[in-house]
Amino acid sequence: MKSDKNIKTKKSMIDILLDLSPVIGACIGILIGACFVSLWGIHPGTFFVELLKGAFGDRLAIGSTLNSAVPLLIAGAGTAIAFKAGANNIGQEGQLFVGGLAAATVALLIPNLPKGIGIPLILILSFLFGMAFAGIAIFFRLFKGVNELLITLLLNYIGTLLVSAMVNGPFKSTTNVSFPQTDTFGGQFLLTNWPTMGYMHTGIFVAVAIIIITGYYLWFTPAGLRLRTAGLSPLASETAGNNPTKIFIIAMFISGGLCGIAGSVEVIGRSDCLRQGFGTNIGFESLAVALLGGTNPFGVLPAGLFFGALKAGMQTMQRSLGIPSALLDLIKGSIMISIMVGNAVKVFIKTNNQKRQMKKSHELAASKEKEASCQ
Amino acid sequence: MNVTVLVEYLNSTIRVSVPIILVAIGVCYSERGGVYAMGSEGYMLISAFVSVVTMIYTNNHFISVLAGILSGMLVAGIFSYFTVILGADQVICGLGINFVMLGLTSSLQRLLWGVTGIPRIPVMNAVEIPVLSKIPLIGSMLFNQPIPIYLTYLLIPLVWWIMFRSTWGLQLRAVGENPSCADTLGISVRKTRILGIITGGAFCGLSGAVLSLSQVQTFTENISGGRGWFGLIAATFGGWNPLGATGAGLIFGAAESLQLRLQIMSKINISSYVILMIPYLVALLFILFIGKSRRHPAAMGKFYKKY
Repeated sequence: MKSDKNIKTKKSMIDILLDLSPVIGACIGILIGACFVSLWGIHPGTFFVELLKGAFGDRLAIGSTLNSAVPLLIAGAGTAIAFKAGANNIGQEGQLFVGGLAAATVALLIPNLPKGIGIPLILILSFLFGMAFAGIAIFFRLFKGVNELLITLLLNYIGTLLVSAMVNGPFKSTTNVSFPQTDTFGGQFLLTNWPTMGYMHTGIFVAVAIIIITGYYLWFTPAGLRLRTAGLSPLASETAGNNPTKIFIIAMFISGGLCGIAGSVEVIGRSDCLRQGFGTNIGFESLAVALLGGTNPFGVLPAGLFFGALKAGMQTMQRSLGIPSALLDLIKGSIMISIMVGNAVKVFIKTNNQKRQMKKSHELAASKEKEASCQ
Repeated sequence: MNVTVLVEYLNSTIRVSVPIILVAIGVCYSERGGVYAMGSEGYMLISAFVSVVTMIYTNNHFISVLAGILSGMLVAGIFSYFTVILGADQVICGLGINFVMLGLTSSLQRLLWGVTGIPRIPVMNAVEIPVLSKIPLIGSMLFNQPIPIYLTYLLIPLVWWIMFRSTWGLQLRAVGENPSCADTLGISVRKTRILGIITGGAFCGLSGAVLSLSQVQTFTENISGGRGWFGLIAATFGGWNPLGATGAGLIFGAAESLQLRLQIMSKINISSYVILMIPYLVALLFILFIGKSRRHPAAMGKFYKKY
């Protein structure tokens, strides 16, 4: 009995360490960034200090951290739902861009809406636009048997170009011709922001609300349980009387819709018009955020804030130290790889432990049999 | 006048599609073995960068193409260690490789050459094949090109033969369809898969080298610009068969070069961004009409653990 207890405590120690694999992954990513920065002749210590200063140094920095985090949080929660259901949605960027387009559509075509209706209408329409984009991938998966990975990837490019075509064509600004963008939206369509807090806008409350709702849906409702089961084992889900195809469709729709909302919140929170390329990189960053959060909406909250801080810090550093923003790609990729490798090692150690325990129980049974036969 | 435009168009079609075809062949090798090749874009980027840097220091085309291929193989080897030996998620790891390579090449470029960018490298001259290049219309399209393009012509049948007629090709396909069965027959699943991924990396590397050395003639940030994804899609709709992938690659190349032509023509009154969308829309339509009932290798994306 005593040895059993020992094994248990030992295992739980390893388990705790392995459960922290996203945190370790994030650390590895930042360390790689710091090592790389030393190639520019900048001390890694300075890198950390500047990063922290840029992310949390003063009220302006905190505001820009939160603002960077908002779209990542919303789209990250959506991505988490898709991944939990086993749907490989990597089309966040395209869905985000059409979400932004929805905001421009409402604000420019119906400019006389009162404030109470305008913003909710924008959020709903962007959800629908995002859903429609995800719907294309669903169509190809169900009727053509093509993996949604490829289609969502293609749709990323199409969504981005669609916004570029619109802001250079039908929605082109009549007053500002220096940059491809739309006319300024009416004030009633914009989220309130606080200039003293680095233009922090109310989108952060929308993001937190969405995270709480999706988290509650995923972990505390029967529908969420069904969704998670379908992701873990489609066969088991089908045996239990659920329809994995239906769950796949629901998960893709929710995920696409949330990414659409992320886009519209980014447009009406950060700026006052739709700009070309407003959400470049946010899509894959939110994918990294979802993975960093363990594809769990509640985990996405710290992960999104971390990424927002990283983004804000890197922006300041780009200005003060002249480090290219491409370094963020490097850090993002390293984080993704190290989390996945960490997960794989976790599975490896678990199966090894199981094997060892099985071996032990076999040996125990054999020795007991021996004793019995001796007596 | 019209004929010269057509000849020019066909010429550029071949030039644009060769990198896509090479990536598609590489993807075939990786995915026939049962491993998603999401990192193809990353292999192309690193190889384009390495081959341009080698070209600047050695001024020898042969060595720089070789260096590019080797760098692609090296990165593919790292990817195969993560996915085949450790069993990490193939899709996310591949995407991670893409981002790491994008960040690495862009920041190294900034570090080595600053804001001015990499100097242009000498042109890879087109070699004219005497009699064949005189064939009207398709003559100059097929037989008046730089050497790597001729190499591609030779590689396509060879690659098909290896995949469908050689023992190793059979083993590779078996490993992708049913790894436990292959394992029972004494084929090392890990070794075969790793070899498949590294071969794929070599083709993506060659593609990156061709792109940077003979077409762009320098390295720019994100030089591959989605060609890796096109290769992935071409392989899927070629049914993971090098010949089918070549055909799909040619179609994407034709769409891409049509897009380039249309942009130059100022008479057409369509938004340039809609024109830029053409290759992607062609890919979608292609899937809609032709890509029906393409069954992927049964064990694709699944980690095989030996017990």
